[in-house]
Amino acid sequence: MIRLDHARWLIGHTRQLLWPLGIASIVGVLGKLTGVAMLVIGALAICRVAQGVVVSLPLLAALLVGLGLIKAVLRYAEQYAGHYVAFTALQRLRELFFDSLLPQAPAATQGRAGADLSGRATRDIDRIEVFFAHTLPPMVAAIVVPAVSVAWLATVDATLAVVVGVATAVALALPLLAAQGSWADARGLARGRGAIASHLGDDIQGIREVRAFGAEDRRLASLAELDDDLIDRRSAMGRGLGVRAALTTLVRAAGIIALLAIGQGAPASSLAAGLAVAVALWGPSRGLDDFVSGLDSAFAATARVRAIIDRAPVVTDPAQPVTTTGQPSVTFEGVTFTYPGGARPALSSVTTSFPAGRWSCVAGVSGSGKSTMAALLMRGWDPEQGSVRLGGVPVDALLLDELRSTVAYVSQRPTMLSGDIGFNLRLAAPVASEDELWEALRIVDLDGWVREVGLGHPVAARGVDVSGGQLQRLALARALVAQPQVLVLDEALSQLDPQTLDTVSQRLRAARPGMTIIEITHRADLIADDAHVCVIDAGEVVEEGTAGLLRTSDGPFVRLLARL
Amino acid sequence: MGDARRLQSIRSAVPQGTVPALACIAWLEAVAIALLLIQAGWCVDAAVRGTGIDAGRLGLMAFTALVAASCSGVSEWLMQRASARTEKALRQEMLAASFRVGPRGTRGREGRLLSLATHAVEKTAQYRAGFIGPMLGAMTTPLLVLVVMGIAVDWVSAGWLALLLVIVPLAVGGFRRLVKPIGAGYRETQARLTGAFLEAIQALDTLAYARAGERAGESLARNGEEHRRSLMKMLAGNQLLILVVDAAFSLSVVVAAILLSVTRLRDGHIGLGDALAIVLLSILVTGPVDVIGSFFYIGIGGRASQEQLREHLARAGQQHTASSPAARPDGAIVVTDVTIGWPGAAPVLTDFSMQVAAGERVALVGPSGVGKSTLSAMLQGELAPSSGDVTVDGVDVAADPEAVRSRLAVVEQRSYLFLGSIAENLRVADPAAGDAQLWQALELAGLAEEVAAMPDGLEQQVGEHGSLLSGGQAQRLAIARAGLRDADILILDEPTSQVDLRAEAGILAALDRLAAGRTVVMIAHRPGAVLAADRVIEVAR
Repeated sequence: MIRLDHARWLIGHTRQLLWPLGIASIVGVLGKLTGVAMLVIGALAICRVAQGVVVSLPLLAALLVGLGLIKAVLRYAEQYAGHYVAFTALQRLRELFFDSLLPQAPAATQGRAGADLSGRATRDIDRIEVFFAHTLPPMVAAIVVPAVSVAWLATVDATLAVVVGVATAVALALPLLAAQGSWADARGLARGRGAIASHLGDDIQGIREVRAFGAEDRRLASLAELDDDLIDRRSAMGRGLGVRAALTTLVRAAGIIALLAIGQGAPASSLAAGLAVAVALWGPSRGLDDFVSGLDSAFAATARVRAIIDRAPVVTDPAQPVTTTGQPSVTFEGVTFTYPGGARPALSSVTTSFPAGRWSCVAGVSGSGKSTMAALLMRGWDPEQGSVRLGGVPVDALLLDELRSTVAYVSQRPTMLSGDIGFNLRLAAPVASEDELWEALRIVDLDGWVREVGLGHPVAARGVDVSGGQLQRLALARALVAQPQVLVLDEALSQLDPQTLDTVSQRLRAARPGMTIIEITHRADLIADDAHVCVIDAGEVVEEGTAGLLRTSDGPFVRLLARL
Repeated sequence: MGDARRLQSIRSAVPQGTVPALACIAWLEAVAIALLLIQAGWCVDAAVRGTGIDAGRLGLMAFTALVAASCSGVSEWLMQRASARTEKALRQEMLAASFRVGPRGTRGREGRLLSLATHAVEKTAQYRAGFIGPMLGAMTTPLLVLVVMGIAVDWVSAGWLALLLVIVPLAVGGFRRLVKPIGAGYRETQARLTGAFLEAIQALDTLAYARAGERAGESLARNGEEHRRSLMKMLAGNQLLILVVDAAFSLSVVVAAILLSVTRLRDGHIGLGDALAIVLLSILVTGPVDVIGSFFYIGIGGRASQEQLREHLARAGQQHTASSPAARPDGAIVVTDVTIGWPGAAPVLTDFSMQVAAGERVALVGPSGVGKSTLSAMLQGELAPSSGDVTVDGVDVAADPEAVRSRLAVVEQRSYLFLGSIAENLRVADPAAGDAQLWQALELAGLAEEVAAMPDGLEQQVGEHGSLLSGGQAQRLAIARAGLRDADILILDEPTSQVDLRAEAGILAALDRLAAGRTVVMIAHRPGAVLAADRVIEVAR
């Protein structure tokens, strides 16, 4: 019943595809019927000649050539309609996938879920598309073409029609009978492949350890065991498929033999027509076997895609939003948060504040929970306990749009979109004037470079011709163009050389004096003496104060310094 | 030469005889069905004569039906089994090659290698074991069927049809010359479409935080729609090939077979049954076209995957099993005038020398990027110096890096834990270790008490990358694992730089116990960051 639900869901989301799908099916059916007709006409012509009736060869040739050309045109139309369905379905599913994913970002795109995402976005959607375009129409043809052909045969000779009808129906039903088994096979196979992928993941990511411990042969051997299991599964599956294929061939052949045996008393032309229909139907019914296996993998893919699309967003707009009025200070009050599936809290009872208009720092080793604080401020997630406040207002009482226009986040490894520099800078502020872009570029000390290459200079997604430092500065400029009141720098200046870092820091402070800056960093040595620092370790605030003071005490901040 | 050999090794992953067997099975099946159809024609003759079908003919038809059925069954089974076995062989070869090159060749390519070992291996196996044989069969059966037709029915008709069959490739070739091939433009457009979509998915965080998601969604939809339209326009022209192929086969085979048989029958050269058989056999001649068409993409995808695998194997090179004679362990490290760097980059260190005596604790100290990790990789035999000599525990690193690795215990910044239990992770170091030894190692790492308190004890699962343990626990498990190693030399590569501050003390204590009685090389930003050292070596450019 789950499958029925998946089918309903798919059709519901791709309703506009029904008519091209219908066209693909209809021209498919007509094309294959034309093929059957050609064979039947040939058989009947032979019988008439055998009876001594004069058959006009040019007329017969013209008729057959005409049918052959019509069949070719129909085949072309079927393929074209199939591709139309395929690419339209692909496009619609991608739009749907993206639109459903957007409210779930960034929760859905980080960590394990994120790694899985591209696979689902491409492979699984492709699989569904293949099902729509190249499996459904052949299935329709596999049922309709025999039905129409046998119905016509019945007008010639009812008995023969019954024989051909029964043989075709049984051959068609065979794969359906085994459908339950093949569904289970597909799942077992997927589990086996999953185990192999996990093993390989360990082998490749842990290659240093594998080699250091001389465990190469042991790892290869245990991988071979998993593969042996897969061989067993697939051999068993192959036996099932083989029996099915053999039975299908046998039933069809038996149908022909039965037709000839039963039809011995019938007129030669009837018998020949029956034979032609039975043989011509051999081809079109292939579709159903592909359909059953295609259906399985399409449903499995649908289930995986739905698991993402139907997921509820982890953060939503408040029912009664308020607006911030006060100074842009940021406070954490008893904030505790555990990532979904996490074994222990990423933050526990974090209480700290970042005063408005100041440059404050969050310091800690990697994995201590620094970035989680930023994610909670931006409402990537909401805390389990406690609250994060912006200007005294809990962030979850603000509209997401307002929150994210007030607070800008710059990450360590920023993503640029394919497009030119101007387009990327205007990402958060599409109507920003050119002057505003240049002001931001001046702050990050990129105005000279951009004047050389121009705002129309293309930026590739992974920043091919831009250095890491330039990329980080572009991302900072992008954030500044949107005129935020709070700026979160998450190791965002880590790749700048000392001199540039100095320039950018000074210009930033001078150009946006009222802006609250929260810098997240593990480089405790680069923090200015007068900056307010909050030291985080294992999800807890372990020390707070101005950097100059902390440097003189013998606390966690000093131990952090010792690691650099 | 080398490339050919590597392709040969991919080819030999297929169980021997699979390809010819599958091709032969396809031929046998085609011959059986052809004979069945010819008999069927003759049965119509019998009906006209009113003699009925004799038992011998019936038996013969049943026999050909059984043969055809067995062939289609065996072929399905064989394809599955052979593909699975090929996959196993290819995966072993692929992983062994990765192990041979080591982290030097896998770093930063993990995702690609994983997809190579799963998807590319699967596709290549399907192509080599499940595609080539049947395809060979399908391409050649039309001629075989015509030969059967010639022997059993009428040589003249078969001959004419064979001649006409030549028209098909000519028509297709001519058309191809007229219309630009589907290939490049089509793939490019499709790749652009997919690329833009994936990029947007990967930039989702940025888009959400910049409130640009909806705009990006709209532009994605707009561009996608544009691409789709241009693709459909392109296909409208290119797909005419299908029309040409279909028409060529219909006209030159089916229509020709009907007209030929009618003429030959009218002129009294063949009987009614023969004529019918010729028409029915024409279906077997055109049948393979559908198969070739529908499986064409397996061939394209398979060849592309095979090429990726071949490149990987070429990169890994051949195994060198130059095991040097067992050197006498001396617990010392001697590095003399070494110049070393990562492949394709300028040397990181030039003419670097150092000596560590047995039992000594030495700290290698210097700021980031100065070459400390390069030295660590060199001592572990992962990176060979371009000049100079390195001897570790009496073994020449260049001659036998594997032996060197077997004489070291290493604790890295972030040690990798494997999916499985605590015991399984420990036994990576020593598969023969009993539970008592495991507990002893955990005791050394200061982890025994915590593990004993876990619900499953030694059998406790550590999760993916040790995610079910805390950072400190994971690192101490790595220390326990290193402790199980019977090695005189210990390398500590910034072992505390990635753990929580509060876990540091426990790890340092465990490291101190681990270091007892061993030669220790510590790599750190500054002296005293790990354990107290007897001597500090400053690494500088």
